[in-house]
Amino acid sequence: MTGCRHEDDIHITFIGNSFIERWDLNRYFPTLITTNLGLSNTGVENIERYAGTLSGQRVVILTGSSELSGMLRAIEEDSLTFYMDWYIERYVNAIDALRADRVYVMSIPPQGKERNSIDNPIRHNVYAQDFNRRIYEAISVRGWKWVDIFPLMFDGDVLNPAYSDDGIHPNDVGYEIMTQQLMQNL
Amino acid sequence: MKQYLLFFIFTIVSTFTFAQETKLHNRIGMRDSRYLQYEFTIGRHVPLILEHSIYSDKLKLQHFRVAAGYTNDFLRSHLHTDFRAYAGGIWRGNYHDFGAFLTLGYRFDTRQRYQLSATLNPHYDTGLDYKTCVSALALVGMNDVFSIVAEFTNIPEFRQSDDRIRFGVDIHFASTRYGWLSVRPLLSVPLGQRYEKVRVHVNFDYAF
Repeated sequence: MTGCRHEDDIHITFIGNSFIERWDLNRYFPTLITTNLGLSNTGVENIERYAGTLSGQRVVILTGSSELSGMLRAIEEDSLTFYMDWYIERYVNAIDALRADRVYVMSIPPQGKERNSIDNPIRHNVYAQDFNRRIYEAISVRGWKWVDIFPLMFDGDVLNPAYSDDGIHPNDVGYEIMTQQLMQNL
Repeated sequence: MKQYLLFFIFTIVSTFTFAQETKLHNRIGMRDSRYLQYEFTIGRHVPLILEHSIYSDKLKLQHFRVAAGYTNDFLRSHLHTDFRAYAGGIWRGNYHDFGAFLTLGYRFDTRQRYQLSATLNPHYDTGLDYKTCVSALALVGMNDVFSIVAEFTNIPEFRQSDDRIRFGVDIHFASTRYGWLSVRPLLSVPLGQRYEKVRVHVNFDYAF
C-alpha cells in the first residue's frame, strides 16, 4: 500500500513549548501530515530530547519565551547578553543534533499586557527583539529558515490583544497568523 | 490542475441541471464548517456526492471528494442502511484518499426522534496508509425541531484521525413544499488532548 505514496506529500514535525503543544495542527494544516512534539513548561531540553531521531525530516521549532522571561527575572542587566548567547549556542546545538533535513525556526512572539505575572511586557519585548536578532544571526549561517512572527503580532510595544486571550499564548487568530507565515516559507 | 478543476465545476453544473430536469432529489450542505457538498439521488436509493473544501488556503491546496453509494430503509423505515464509496485528494496532487462509509442506523419511533447509528469507515490515505475508523451516534429529539446529538468518532475531520466526542444540537425543519433543512452546530472535543484543540463545527443540509 505504501507504494502509492507521493514524493511531494509533506510531513512536518513541530517541536517546542506550549505554543506548539496548543497548536491544533490538524486544523491549521489540513493538507499536511503533522506531528506535534510540543510540551508546556519546557524549553530547549524538549528539543535535546529528540536528538538524532528526526533524521531527514522537516522540523518546525518554536521555544525560548519562558527562558527569556527567566533570564530577565534572575540575571543582572549587564550579564544578560552573555546568558542570551550561551542559551542560543545550546539552542542551535540542540537543533543541529536533530539531524533534520530542513529546519524552520520561528521567532519568539511578543508578550501582552494581559499577562498576570511580575514581568514587564514592554521590557520583555525590547529584549525579545534583541534575542530574536541573535537567534536569526546564529541560524541563518546554517541555512535554516527563519519564520519571523514577532513583527506580525507586535502592536505598539506589546502583543496585539486581538491575537491572544492571556497575553502570552496565541488564540485562534494568532495561530492563523502563525500558520500563514509558516506556509509562506514551506 | 486547471483542467481537473474545470471538469469538477462542469460536473457540478451539469449534474445540477440534469437533476433539475429529471426532478431528482437534491441536497446542498456543509460538513464540519470546511467542506461544501452537493448531492443528488437517482431513483431514491443511489446518491452521488461532490464535496469541496473551503480551507483558508490556495486553490491548489483545497481538497475534493467524489462519492457514490446506495441507501435504503427496512423494517417500516426503522432500520436505515447507507453505503458510500469515495475517492478524493488535493488539486496539487500531493496525496489522495479512498474509502467507504458503511452506516447502519435504527430509528426507535416513526417520527425519527430517537435514533442510534454506527458507521464503519475503512480509509486509505496515500501518505498515512490504511486505517479503520468508526463512529457511533445517538440522536434524541426534544420536539419536532430540536434534537440533541452525541457522537464518538475517529473519522478524520481534516486529514489525520484522532478520537473525539462530538455533541451539539440538530435544528431541522421539514416541509413538503420547500424541502428539508437541518443545521447542526457541534462541539468536537478531543480525547486525551489539550482543551485548546476543541473545535466548533457547523453542519448544514438543505434537501429539496
